[in-house]
Amino acid sequence: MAFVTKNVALEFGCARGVKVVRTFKETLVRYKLRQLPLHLDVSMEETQFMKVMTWLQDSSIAIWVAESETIWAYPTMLTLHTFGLAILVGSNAVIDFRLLGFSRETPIPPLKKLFGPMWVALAINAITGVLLFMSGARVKGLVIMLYVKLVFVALALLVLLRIRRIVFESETRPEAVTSPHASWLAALSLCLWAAATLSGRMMAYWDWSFGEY
Amino acid sequence: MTFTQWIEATTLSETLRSIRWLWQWAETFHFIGLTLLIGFVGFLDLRLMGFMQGVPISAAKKFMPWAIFGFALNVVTGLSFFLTFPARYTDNGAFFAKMLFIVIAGLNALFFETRLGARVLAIGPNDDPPMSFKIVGTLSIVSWLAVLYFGRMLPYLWQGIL
Repeated sequence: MAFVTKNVALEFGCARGVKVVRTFKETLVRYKLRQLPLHLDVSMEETQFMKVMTWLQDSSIAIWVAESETIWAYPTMLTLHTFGLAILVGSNAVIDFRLLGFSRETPIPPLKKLFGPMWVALAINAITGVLLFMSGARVKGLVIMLYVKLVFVALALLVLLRIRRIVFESETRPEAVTSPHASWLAALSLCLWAAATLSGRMMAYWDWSFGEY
Repeated sequence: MTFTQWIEATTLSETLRSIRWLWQWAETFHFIGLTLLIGFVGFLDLRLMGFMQGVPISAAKKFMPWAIFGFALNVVTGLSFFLTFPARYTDNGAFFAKMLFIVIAGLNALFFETRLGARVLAIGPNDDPPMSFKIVGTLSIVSWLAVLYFGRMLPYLWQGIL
């Protein structure tokens, strides 16, 4: 079965991403149709994971996000998610660029005030992210790029906490601020956010999947 | 032949459409560009509005080349979207709203550079900026967030205006 799944993915140009341009939804529908006989061969029973995904997707809030006619549902969740990205990553980029040596005239301690908006933006993105996930949990729960993105976001947040600790909470060691260690963390932070942005966007295009839905 | 049809028929537009991976990578860089733009412009705007005290306005301005870099990235990737499928945009009210706010943000920045730029150095790192600075800063951040809003809502708002 794994063999057939791989072939289907290749046939749709998912793995290479060159042959066919098709919307994600279309691909999923086709993929699903192809998979149907395989399911019949193996078993009609759903995994525990898919039962949870179904329960999430069938919740009233998920149905509202996915199917409501108003722009306040899915489109607004997407837009808020992008606002959160711009504020969280944009502010983090200001800190990173300063630590990398740009605009040395900018004193570093006042940059600590950026953490307020950044945490608010993170909260917005966690909430809208969960809602967007729930709106199509049965499909999105199997999208590999989503988990790749979450790993990058988690690593970027860990780096951010580390920067906060060594740069903004070290009144006793002001030299830490300009240490090479801080610049390396700043460069790593920018790379991780770029990777998170890339994998988030590619959720819609690189439809590598854990398979069975 | 309409303007849109003429663009679609150009070799450039056809070439862009034939490169299958182009759209997704252009989108990714459009997101990275907007993040840099909002991050660095927003930082200066906050200072102009009177927040982020301790940072000299002239120091916050030193990040502007990176905001311009982000904007340039978005002009290039944005043009690639437009040239690939012009009909999606010329038929869309949100696209024109987005362009309008880019113009407003641009004129606002031009006003700041030409009319207020000389006064920047007279304002100390801990000073509360004058009202004119606060208005320019507010208008700037509101305009750029409006650009982001209408850009992201483009597929959902005011389609089919023609």
